[in-house]
Amino acid sequence: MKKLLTVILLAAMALTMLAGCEDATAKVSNANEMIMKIGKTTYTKGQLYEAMMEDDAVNTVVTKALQMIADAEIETTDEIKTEAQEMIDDYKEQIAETTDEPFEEAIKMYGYDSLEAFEEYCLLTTKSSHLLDKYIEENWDSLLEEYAPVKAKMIYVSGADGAEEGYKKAEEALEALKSGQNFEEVAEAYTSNKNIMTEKLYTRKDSSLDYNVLQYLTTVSAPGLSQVITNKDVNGYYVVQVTNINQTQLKDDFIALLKDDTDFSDTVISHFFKLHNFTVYDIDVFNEIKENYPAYLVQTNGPKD
Amino acid sequence: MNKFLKENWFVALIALILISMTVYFAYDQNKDKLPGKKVGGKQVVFSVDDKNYTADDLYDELYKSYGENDIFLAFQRGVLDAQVPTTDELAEQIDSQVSQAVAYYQQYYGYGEEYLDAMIRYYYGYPSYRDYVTYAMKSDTLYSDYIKAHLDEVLTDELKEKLNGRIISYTVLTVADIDNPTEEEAAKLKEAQDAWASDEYSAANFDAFAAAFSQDSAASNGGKFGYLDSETSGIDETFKAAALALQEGEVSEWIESKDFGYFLIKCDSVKTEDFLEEGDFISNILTASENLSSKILWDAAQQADVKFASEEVEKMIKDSLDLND
Repeated sequence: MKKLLTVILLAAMALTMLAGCEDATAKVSNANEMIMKIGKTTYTKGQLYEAMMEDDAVNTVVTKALQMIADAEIETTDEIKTEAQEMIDDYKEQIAETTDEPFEEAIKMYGYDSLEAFEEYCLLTTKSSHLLDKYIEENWDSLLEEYAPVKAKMIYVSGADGAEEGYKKAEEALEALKSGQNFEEVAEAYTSNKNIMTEKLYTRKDSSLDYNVLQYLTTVSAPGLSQVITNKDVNGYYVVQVTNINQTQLKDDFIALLKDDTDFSDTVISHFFKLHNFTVYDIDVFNEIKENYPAYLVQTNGPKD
Repeated sequence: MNKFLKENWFVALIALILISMTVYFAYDQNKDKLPGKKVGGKQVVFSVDDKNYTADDLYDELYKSYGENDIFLAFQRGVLDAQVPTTDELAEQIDSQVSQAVAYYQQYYGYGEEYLDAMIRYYYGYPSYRDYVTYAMKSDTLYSDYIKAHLDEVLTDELKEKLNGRIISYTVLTVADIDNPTEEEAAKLKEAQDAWASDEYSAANFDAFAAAFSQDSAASNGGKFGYLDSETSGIDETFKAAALALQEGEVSEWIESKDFGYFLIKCDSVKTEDFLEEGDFISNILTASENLSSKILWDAAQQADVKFASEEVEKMIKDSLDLND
């Protein structure tokens, strides 16, 4: 009886101890290997690893993960090879300006043991830059629907001098445009916001646009003039001229806009990370990604909020 | 077994409940823990599809950008810790400097010590602002002690002549626009000039003259400027040129400065032994002597019996110190 109780209690203690398990940390091999000793203090490989992790672990991890994914997703075509070679040539030019050393020796300063290693880096970096293009190509139709890009010019008349006065002015501007007057001339005369009078590409996700203007742009079916649009706060009035809704003609500008959008880049990276099951096994890296790039954490295990 | 359970059913029930609770507790505590992964004896940092990126891979990659710099920083800190112990006095000075900096940033920018820590980590690689201050002060102590102990060797005749160092005092009469002084400024200047020309003041009591007439904070200290030499920067060039031209004990003529007004400058001493406790003297010797700070650090490392794991690491440290020819 006593023995049984003892066994049960020991088992309970062991299980309770399991509850104290920590999150995993990935350690470098041979962490106790000496790098240098000063007096009685030894500086080890493990300490160097910890110091370097403090410098920039998360960006290095994300970059390497993207390179691995790009290697799987992007075929090494002649075009990719040419781009990679151009990148190498650019580096050669830059390095030649700072040192007389042969290129193969100079790249050792940047941590590359050989020209082949550096060429591999340039190839992977080139491929990584094409992940956005690939995503855009594969999701073109849904992106068009999601963003609904159009080109437009706008006149904004402020209602600061009175709502009726403002609306009247906006109507005058509209009439002037309908009668065939030049848009820029009318805009110069009436607009309170010169930034929007030139033709720009707008999308459904443009947070700078007034809600009511956005609603108009996303429902327009052909280029042309709007009626006077009252803004959401009812203190200003827009006249909008949609100049182009042809998605083929807008393609290059739309792609340029997407590539400039950091939120879109995060979405793309998150998509590929999920697709390729990006999983982190080190709690420090996990927490840093969670703090800086939460969208990149696509795994289901690990600490929750 | 059945007999046992019949006789001890209550104990068995309690044991069952206890074990169930423990199992559930262990599961609940661990369910959100991040699991680790090991492949081929190496710990994995992350994986993409079936490809694993280990801590060793990450070490090699990070080393390309940060390895040499971090090893050098560790070398520097290790030598300073070995050769300049943190005495109570030094600890107090460090505390004082950190407190002052934190108070300044708090008052003028609304940022606390955490902000300073982040900036120092980003720009200099030190873990914290306190660490940065600690090692800056230890460096100053190391260099100062070395230079004082090897003064004849470090301060060659050539360097001495080049630096032309001296201790000086000064009096300033401020004038906003030297071409159009106000009535008040002109009156003050005349009063000072008349007093200096009289028998009441001379080089012997220049400090009293400065205390009576100088129009800046040095007046409360008898006009003492401290150490100045040809490497001194951040001061009025007219002032500097006039100060460097003086013999020991000599007072200049009234010096006109477009930015400040009128100066009277006295050379208190040109004796090296009077410079030894002047911070600028030490720092200007370091600036003017090629690679002296590196040589001092390397010398200190040898005294601390530094050992490197490989010739490669030693060469890398020496390259960082520019000691390899």
